[in-house]
Amino acid sequence: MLALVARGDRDAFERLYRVYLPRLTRFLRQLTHRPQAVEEAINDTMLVVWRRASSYSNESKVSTWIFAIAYRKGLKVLNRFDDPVADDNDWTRPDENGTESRVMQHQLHQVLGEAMAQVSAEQRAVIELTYYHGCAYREIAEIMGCPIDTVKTRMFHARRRLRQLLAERREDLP
Amino acid sequence: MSGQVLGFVRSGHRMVFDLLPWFVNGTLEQAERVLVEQHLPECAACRRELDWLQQLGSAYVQSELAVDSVGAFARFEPQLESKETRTETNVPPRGWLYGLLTANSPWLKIAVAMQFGVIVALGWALAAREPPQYRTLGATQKSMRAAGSLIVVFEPATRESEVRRILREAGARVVDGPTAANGYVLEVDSRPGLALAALRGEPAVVLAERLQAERVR
Repeated sequence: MLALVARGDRDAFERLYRVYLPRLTRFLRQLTHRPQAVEEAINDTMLVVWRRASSYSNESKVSTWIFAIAYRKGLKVLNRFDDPVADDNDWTRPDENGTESRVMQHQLHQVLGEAMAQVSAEQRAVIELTYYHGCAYREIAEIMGCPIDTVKTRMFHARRRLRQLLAERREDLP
Repeated sequence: MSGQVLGFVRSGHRMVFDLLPWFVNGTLEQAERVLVEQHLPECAACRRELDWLQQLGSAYVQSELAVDSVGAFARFEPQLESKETRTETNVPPRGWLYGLLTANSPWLKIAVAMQFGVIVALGWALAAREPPQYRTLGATQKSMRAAGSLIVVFEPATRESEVRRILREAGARVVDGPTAANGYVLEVDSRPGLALAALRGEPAVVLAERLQAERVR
């Protein structure tokens, strides 16, 4: 599909846009925690895809290439903001009817959005790409333009921080 | 000695501990997965961490965001249209030449046509120069020119660092120039078509064309 986009095929580009819109929305929302800036970052990303599709090389997956662009655009947007990050309280809640473990899962989910706002953007990106987008750590390194060990270190600190924050917040739950 | 063994065990533990998130998402390579599977039965700390990471992963995946996909492309499309004149350089079927020749100003058409003629003529002259029959060891390597020779003209305001980036990404190197019209002759070792497309995709590139293939040795 990207080859068609590189040849200026608008229909192919629209299909590509629709395919990537949900994933990019999710990724950039989690990276920036600024819902108001997400659409702008997506559009900036897809404009680069449209303009630079011919420069894509087969050395990486198309998704890796697009996410790498989105990551840079997300950080760029983030740099413009000085205000505290927003909590993602409008996440769709899971079904509250269920077993005890499901209730525990719900509690964990409830505080997760708030806790994610307390870790760095780079750490959020690693968590998001690992858990939601199912990326291997090598792929994440490529997307973030950093060494593999940096990805592992960011994940290590994010895990530790999230564990601490979630423990504190779960104590506050009724 | 025992300290070395302890250090090795710790480093092995840390290696597995770091890999656990990707063990959970199933993206580890075979050798790494085996390493984790062998370590888990003998390490309670890693088993606890694995349990916690699985809970975290499940909660995280449930955190779906509502995406308003309806109309998103419709909102984006005008932005695409407004920038399309700049992006024409990236679209081979209707490239920069099409954009310029369909421009409204007749003077612009004439000026561009004249500039194009001069550049192509100079490029042709550069490419048509016969290489020397005999060369010393210190002579330049023009006779080793291979795969593709291109001529490129950059925007006058383009910074040198930007030029370097463009050339690196296109896999090209300067072998001659600047010409009187500020054109540079480039060589690419492989896939000149891709290099040409990459160059044409750069806003800072005013012109990028192939030179005659028969001059290539």
